[in-house]
Amino acid sequence: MMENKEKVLSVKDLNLWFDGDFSSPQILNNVNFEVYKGETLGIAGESGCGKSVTSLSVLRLLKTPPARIQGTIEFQGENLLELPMSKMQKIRGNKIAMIFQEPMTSLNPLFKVGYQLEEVFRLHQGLSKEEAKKKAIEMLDAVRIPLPEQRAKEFPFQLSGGMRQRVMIAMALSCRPELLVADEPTTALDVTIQAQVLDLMRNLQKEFGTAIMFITHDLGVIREICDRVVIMYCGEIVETAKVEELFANPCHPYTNGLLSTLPQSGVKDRLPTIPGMVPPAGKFPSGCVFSPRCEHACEQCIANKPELYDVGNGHSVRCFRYQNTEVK
Amino acid sequence: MDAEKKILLKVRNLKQWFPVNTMIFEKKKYVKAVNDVSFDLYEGETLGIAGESGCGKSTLIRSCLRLLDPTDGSVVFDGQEIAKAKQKQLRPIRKDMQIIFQDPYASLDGRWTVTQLIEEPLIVNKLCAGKEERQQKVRDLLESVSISQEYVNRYPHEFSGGQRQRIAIASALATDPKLVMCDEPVSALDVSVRAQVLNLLKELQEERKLTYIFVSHDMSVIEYICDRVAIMYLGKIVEIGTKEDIFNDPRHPYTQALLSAVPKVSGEKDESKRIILEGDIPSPVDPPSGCVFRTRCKYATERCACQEPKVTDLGNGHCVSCHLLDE
Amino acid sequence: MENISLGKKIRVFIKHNGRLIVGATLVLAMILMAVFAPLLTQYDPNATDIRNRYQTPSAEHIMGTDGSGNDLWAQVVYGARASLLIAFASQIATMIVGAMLGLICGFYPKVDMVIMRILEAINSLPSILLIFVLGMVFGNSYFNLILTLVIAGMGGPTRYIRAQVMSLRQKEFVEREVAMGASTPRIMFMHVLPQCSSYLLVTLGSGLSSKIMSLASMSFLGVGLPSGVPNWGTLISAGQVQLMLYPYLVFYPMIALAITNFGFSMLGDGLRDLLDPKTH
Repeated sequence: MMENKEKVLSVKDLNLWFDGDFSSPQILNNVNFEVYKGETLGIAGESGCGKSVTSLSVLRLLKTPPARIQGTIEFQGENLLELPMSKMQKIRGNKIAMIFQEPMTSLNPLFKVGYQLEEVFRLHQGLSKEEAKKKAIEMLDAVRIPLPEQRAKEFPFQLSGGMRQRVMIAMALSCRPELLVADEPTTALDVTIQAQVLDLMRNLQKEFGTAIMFITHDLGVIREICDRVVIMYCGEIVETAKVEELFANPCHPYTNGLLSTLPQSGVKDRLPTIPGMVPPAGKFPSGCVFSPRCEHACEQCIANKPELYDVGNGHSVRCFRYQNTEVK
Repeated sequence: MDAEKKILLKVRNLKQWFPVNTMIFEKKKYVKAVNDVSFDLYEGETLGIAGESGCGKSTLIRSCLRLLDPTDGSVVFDGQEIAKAKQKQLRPIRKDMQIIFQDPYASLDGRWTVTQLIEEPLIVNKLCAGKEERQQKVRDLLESVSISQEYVNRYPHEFSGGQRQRIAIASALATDPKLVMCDEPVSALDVSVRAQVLNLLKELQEERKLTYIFVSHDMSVIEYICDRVAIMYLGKIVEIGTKEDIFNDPRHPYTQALLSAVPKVSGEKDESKRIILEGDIPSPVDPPSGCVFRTRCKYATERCACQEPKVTDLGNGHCVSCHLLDE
Repeated sequence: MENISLGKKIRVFIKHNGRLIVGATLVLAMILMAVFAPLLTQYDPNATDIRNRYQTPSAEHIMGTDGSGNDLWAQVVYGARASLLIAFASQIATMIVGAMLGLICGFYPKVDMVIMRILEAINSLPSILLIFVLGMVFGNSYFNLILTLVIAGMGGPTRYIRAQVMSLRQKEFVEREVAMGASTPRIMFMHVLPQCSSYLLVTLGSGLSSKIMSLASMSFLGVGLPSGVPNWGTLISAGQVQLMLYPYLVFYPMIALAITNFGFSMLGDGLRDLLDPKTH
């Protein structure tokens, strides 16, 4: 059913190390995923699971060295990892845009927001000053900022957090990118503002048809906005499925654990917990990465690394317990 | 609420204003972080204080703890008025009220070992006779928060976030306090560790008969751990009541919107029922006249702009400040 | 991580801490020179020998002799003693005074008002003028020189420590101490001061080099060490009269001054790189 959809981005066998003086821990291990046109792919996991590093390597924003990347990241038929930097810069912000967690750090505090937006149009689309100004105000209006003409004349510090994130989204969408990479865009926002921004992103996606790669640690947000989801743990994809499928039928013990540790409405008993803690980079277990914390772990899990087994309906799990139910 | 329950902390009309730098001839302005807040805290219960950033929830507990000097109002802890007390008079009271902070990286001095960190409140308050007794107490505390004894001489940076929060909890409990204020204690932790710390807090409460004030912006955590909940908006408590009242029958429009905005991982996903608030939280320097929430409230009328809503008691301690309810 | 050879660890340390090593070596060399001065030269720095005035550098007098026939090498070597001693003593005293004043200012707003106004008054004078005036007022014993340098130099550390205290007081680990009932002095000395220690250590290098320079300037201007105590400032001052004829009389003490200064600066930078977590 996915075959007829157009692939925007496909990441194949992405491996990543950080070379230090004494060791080079592997941060990503054979990460594979695709983003299709018009869909929202969620990448979820706890801190240190490699979700942000994945998004940064898609945009090639990691410094190499110390980072060492292997694999292919295919975007519109080209491998982004092999493109020269000059070409990459044309793609960045134009065809692939990114929004970050803290909009204050990605906006220049010394320039008015309108000017910063105009710059994007002038740089990537070569518009004249007047045209760019008109476009900038249109964009601010599109992200539902009230009184866009006035807001354009303000500096970033005069806007609230939610407004700044809207400006960032306006900037990101101004060149009608094929792909929007959103790295925890609502984490710094309050819930009521988060609801506004998520609502806005949903509506804009319908309007613009942009594919979104949405990175977050909040499974609730994933359920709100994403179509498909990838769960990462210790630099590996442990489970991937459509959102309804994942929340209705979580298969990997880690996903299961994560969902059950969240306090649910009406539950008063002790919360189920996942024993232990996330291992630090460089100390990822050699077999199944989750085996030291898994209640189902057996000798096989400690010795060998499981594959991603397809259990049907676009749902794959990296767990030996699903080896036999695999749909070929 | 059981009328015979003992009130441990009684807060009345508490105000915590911070002056804002203004020009010489301008009228003096204040950030009204906490503006006229009153509530009772009963012994043995957990009171949740929920609200978005800037609503004054963290300031409120810092004023109650006298880490700040309140502008006005009264705070009575265990029968003693502490809002205007001098720091010296406060010292003997401090061991009965402790605080756990959001960020265990910032709240533990990185140059001290675990033992030193946990001993500190014992030394400061001269609670143990000798070194032996103190070390025994440290070992007991570590055991009660499930940190292995072999780590007593390690430094905080050698621990993960969850373990550090456990150490902070052990240190807060060293003086056997009656009241523990928790300022977003699990917000900085990873999801899988969060549940462990929440369980620990609940267990410790049962074992030691603790009273908690639990500040959080995460409504699901509040619902799990609290008995009663106060919802704050722009320095005021807009609604307070038992957990069941607040979550099953929220009456203030803000509480309703806040609860519906929380993304949930279970239950039905009905987008039509979601209330999406318009606009931003106003600045606490210039809060709206009348009802503070009126600028974002879809039911707002003229009356809301000119008159401050009174507190309406709906019974069972469920109090709401909204004009809709006293009509 | 554990099975990395010691050799590799040392190589990596050297790679990242080149400045620290260069600085420490130079400073150590200067200190050894001052301590073992009698072993490095057979001449007495103050022994006048009129027959050997203005000797150009030779095997016998490797840096030549000055107008009184004193061996210049002996004067440079012995000069390190006074220069380094006063520099170290005054820098350490400056840091102690600065830390105390900074802590008091940070914790007690009323005292802060008074101390800050005094410091502003002191620092409104150009520093060289201030040192000159203080030097003249106090006279030129060792103790008074140190006092002069401390008064002139305490503004910087005081202000820095004060700013640190102000920001540290907002930190949660300090709030936690207050909530636990700890007294202000306990918080000051057990929690806040240790946090400032890396700053104090880092400024040791740059502070020492500025003290060496100030002392040399004072001696050059004639308000420094009493006559008869060999030191680099006095040597330069005396030598500049004959600069056109005997440039080496200025040249060699200048080299000693420059090397010491360079060493202290490198040591300071190296310590900063080593202690500042941001550079890792």
